[in-house]
Amino acid sequence: MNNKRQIRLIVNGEPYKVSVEPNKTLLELLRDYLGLTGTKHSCGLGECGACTVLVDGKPVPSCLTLSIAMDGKSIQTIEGVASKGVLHPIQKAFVDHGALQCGYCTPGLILTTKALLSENSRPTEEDISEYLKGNLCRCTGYTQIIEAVIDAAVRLEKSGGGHVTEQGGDFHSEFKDECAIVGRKMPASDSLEKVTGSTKYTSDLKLHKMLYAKVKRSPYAHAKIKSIDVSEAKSRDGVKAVITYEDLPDIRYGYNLLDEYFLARSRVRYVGEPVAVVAAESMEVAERAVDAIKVEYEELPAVFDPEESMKPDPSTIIHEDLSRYERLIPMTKLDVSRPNVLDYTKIQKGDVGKGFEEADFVIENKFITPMQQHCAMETHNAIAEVGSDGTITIWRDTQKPYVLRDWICKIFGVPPSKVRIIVPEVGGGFGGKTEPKMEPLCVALALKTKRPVRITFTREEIFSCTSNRHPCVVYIKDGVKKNGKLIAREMKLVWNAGAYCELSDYVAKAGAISAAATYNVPNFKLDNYVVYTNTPVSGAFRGFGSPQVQFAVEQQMDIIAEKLSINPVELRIMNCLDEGDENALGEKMHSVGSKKCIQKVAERLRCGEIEEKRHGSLRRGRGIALGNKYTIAAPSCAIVEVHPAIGAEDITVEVRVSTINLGQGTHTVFAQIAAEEFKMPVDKVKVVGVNTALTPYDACGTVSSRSTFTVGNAVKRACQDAKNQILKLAVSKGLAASAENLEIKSGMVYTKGVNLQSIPIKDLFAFWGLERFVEDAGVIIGKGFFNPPTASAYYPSACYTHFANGAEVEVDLETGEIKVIKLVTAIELGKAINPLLTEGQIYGGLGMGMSTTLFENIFLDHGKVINSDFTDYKVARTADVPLHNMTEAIILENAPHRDGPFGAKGIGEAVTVGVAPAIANAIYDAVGVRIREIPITPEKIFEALQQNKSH
Amino acid sequence: MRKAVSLLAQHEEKARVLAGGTDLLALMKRGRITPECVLNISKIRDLSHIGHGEDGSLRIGALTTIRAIEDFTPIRENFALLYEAAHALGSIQIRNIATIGGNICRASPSAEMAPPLLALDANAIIISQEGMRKVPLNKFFAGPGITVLRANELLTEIQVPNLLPRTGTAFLKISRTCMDLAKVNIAVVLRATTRVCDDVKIAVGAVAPVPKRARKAEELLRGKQLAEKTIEEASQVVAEEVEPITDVRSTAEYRREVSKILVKRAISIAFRRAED
Repeated sequence: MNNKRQIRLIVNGEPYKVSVEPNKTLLELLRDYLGLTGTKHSCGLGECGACTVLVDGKPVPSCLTLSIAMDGKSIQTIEGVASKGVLHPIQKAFVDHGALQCGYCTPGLILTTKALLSENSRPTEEDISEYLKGNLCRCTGYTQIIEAVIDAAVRLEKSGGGHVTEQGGDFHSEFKDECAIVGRKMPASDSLEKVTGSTKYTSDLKLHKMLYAKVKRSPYAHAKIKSIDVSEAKSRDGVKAVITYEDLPDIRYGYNLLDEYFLARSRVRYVGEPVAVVAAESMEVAERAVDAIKVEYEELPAVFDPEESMKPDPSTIIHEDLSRYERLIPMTKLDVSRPNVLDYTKIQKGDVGKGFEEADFVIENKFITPMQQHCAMETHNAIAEVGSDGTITIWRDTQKPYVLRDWICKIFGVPPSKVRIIVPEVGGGFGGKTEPKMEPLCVALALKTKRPVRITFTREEIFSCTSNRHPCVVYIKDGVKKNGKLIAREMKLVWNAGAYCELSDYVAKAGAISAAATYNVPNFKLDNYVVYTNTPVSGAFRGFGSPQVQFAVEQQMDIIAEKLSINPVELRIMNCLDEGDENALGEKMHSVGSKKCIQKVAERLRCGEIEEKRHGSLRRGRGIALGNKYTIAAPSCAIVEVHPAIGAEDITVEVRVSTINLGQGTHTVFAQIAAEEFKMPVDKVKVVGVNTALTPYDACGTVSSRSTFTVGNAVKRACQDAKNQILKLAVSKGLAASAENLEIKSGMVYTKGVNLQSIPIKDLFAFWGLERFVEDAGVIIGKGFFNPPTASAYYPSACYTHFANGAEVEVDLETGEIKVIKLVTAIELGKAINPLLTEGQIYGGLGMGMSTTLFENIFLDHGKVINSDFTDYKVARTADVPLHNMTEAIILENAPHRDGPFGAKGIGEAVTVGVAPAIANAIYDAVGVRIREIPITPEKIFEALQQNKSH
Repeated sequence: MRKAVSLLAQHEEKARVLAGGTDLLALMKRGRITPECVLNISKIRDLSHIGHGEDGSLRIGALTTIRAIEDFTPIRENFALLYEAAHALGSIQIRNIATIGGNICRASPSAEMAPPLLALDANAIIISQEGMRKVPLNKFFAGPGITVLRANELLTEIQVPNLLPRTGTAFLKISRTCMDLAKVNIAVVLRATTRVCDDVKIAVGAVAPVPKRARKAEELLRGKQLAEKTIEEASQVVAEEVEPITDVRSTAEYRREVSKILVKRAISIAFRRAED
């Protein structure tokens, strides 16, 4: 196409003259032509605000603005907000308030805020929420963003609109007391880069001569492939390669049950299953070539409902070879009478039959949760390049780099020395970036074309073809005594795995153990079914099975409380597990704190206080929930290198781990742990970005809220190992007779006691020409390994994080509309290493929990997702969440975990789990209807209210 | 503008007109439409005006942005429903570029600006090489995504007749999140003297293939005392006039039932404003 138009425009104060095709958007102009990658692509439909720029001072979606319309306009992007390296007050406020996590939405939010404050210098919170409602954030829940904007308005007024000169704030200060770093609030270490738009995500990377790949996908939910004809696609101009299953080895993949091909061989089992993939000079060419691939199918009967599918005689058998598939770990079992059940397991304690006989009441209910999407702001991206020596390099926003490396080695028959995975900053994960669904295709194409290849999934592909939250049906039957004591609980869980297993067996078992880890029930039985259907594949999603199960359990507790006329708080306290109690899995509970959590929440919600609950057609109600989230027992290791730089006055501590920074701030937490161990300022610690060629082995990945607990421990141990080596060196230099008499602080080794003597650590390194090395050892490398102990034979859990949630809602009796007024959570963490980031996790978890409770549901039509973008699938926005001071995070540190670093446990997932049942219970309190199915919509409430009326 | 009309005449059905782009580009990206050519009219200067005509009517150029309508003081003061509808449309980013002409010509059943303009008896000014014609907005929508615009025609202006004294207006919308297409949106224009309804216009969106007037309900209310019972009856008639569907946003049953409630609420707001 050579009908380019020349336009003149000003970008961040600089004039540009560019020739662009008339169909290029402003977003493409900024990113692809001018290299300003701080402006982000996320939804492409003007729904998310990530691409917001200011045009003549007004915020616009650059993805829906044509470049040619920008002739003569002045554009401001995030790169133009800071002035000569000095942050704008808005940027500074975002940093200080922890108003960013993954950072992908941050540039758009900062620019929109800038426009708001130039129109309205003292906006109310309502003004802010209204103005920012076009900017989606999936991480923060908006609380700290609103705080930052309110504060930014004040700062701007003070500075008279100028920039801020002081930078960094107190987190650069010197180390002061014993525990000055661990437990201190400080902004995430990557904040400055994120507020200035300089962070590079995988989606921002471009390699020389890079090709673009597009996947051909199945339009059928279940079909036999009769033939694939790629000849026409191959012959197209600009097409460099087309591959099908014939180009890949006959290897099935999975985490445990190996049932899935990277490209379908003879059968497709869901709409969107990959069949072929094209690499071409441009995305447009690749897309058109995909359309030219002819695939002949023979449609087969399909089954979409898991309870239908799990019958002994389902309408179709999805995996005829199921019993012959390889399983890596013998943790799963087949139910031979049910051909579509891929895993059936049981938990059993005591005798439920006897328990029900002894019970005064038996209460039975059924609850349903839907398929939902993570909606990370950055879409999935992978780039593969094959070096001249055959080394395969992959850049990918993955949560499991080593699993990916191992699969690449297996598929392509190359040794680990020839594969490296580099993980740039990740624009949100939430469990959604774990499966290797794009990388093997990229590598195969890169090997074939000898050029770098990128795959970017569209939002539609993410909904249909990556993984979603498991839909689940929960049956729960409880036997209780009149006094409220639970004596028997029987549950049946039916998990919809979708067409392939992937993590389903793990998710199902994790959900099951969550049913056993809050309450002390002497007779407990749980049947756990994982079922194939011809729907998109289910996988990990923040909470990993717990939200589905506890939505049921915690509503059931309120149903029991009402039946017995017992206060729901007391009922929970009476039945919950406490320190030393044995749960149904035979684990002795440790670091619990449930009682304190629920008491705190009840107090903050003012439960029991009588208040005016009515206003016109509006009714207020409050609800609580208790809960737990486990962390997996999987080992991890860390490497710590200590060395001085030439001319530097001090040492540097470099931490290497393979934990991904998804926005949750673990790299800051690791830096704090290392700084605490060395008693030095945190900015002298560097946590290296994940690269399997540099950072140590960790097969489990950034999952299961394990980073602080497990990897944090490994970092702590690696620091201790390095410190021991330093102390030995100091002894050899004659500072003391033995290492026991020495301690490390502020880059020095000191003798303990009164006659303080010291030596700078850097002086333990001798000059070696221009370099400094430790004699014999060279550098100091500390190694740390932590393998959490586990006591469960059913599932490898290392620890549980306990919490309580509270919600206050306002329901419109006439329309069924719901407004969440207040969300509270109290969580027993043992120790919050960085309370600012911890609060960020809590607010974000509450926001996501609320969104998934009220708004989110993937709709399928014959297995095809029909709401696969942000126009049709809705996520909570600023004006949907409670006011910022009505979201409350209570961090409890009463029950430190014996194995946790400084007693700390994980938080990332726990905070989302209890939101749904707390809201459901609050709705019942408000209007007397019980909604047993997520999402809890006005439609369902309205219908239930009508039924109540007619009874 | 002359060039635009001549280009339209040349390409006819093959061309789609691009104004703000928020709908057209999104539809193209989602693969819902694939036009052979796109006629970008966004730079036609004389189509982004907003003000009063000689007859006192409100004249809004087709390229006037939704934000400009929202920010136009006479609209805030005299046409509350237009302000409320503009304010309810999308995000600030979208409102900065989306235009009233685009919102109307896209003919989405849930188009935010449609119910207020229908209830205000607005007219669409349309031009082509053959000349100009004026079409009442009530005859403008022909189906979901379809208008009476011929392939060679361009919408240039919306004209809104002045309101008579003692008229109150209201616009209400319900949606899933604070930024979503409507499940139901409703506009009411009501003239009343001491609780008697002299005239009323009710328009509903997202509950039929096109945004439309609830004429039977209007008929029922006209000349009546605005008693609770009468309003209740009228809302019942609205529920009978709508033809909602079930989709990802809501269910047909809910839309029908909630139309009733929104009508009652909008009438009561409009009445209060008429009295002020």
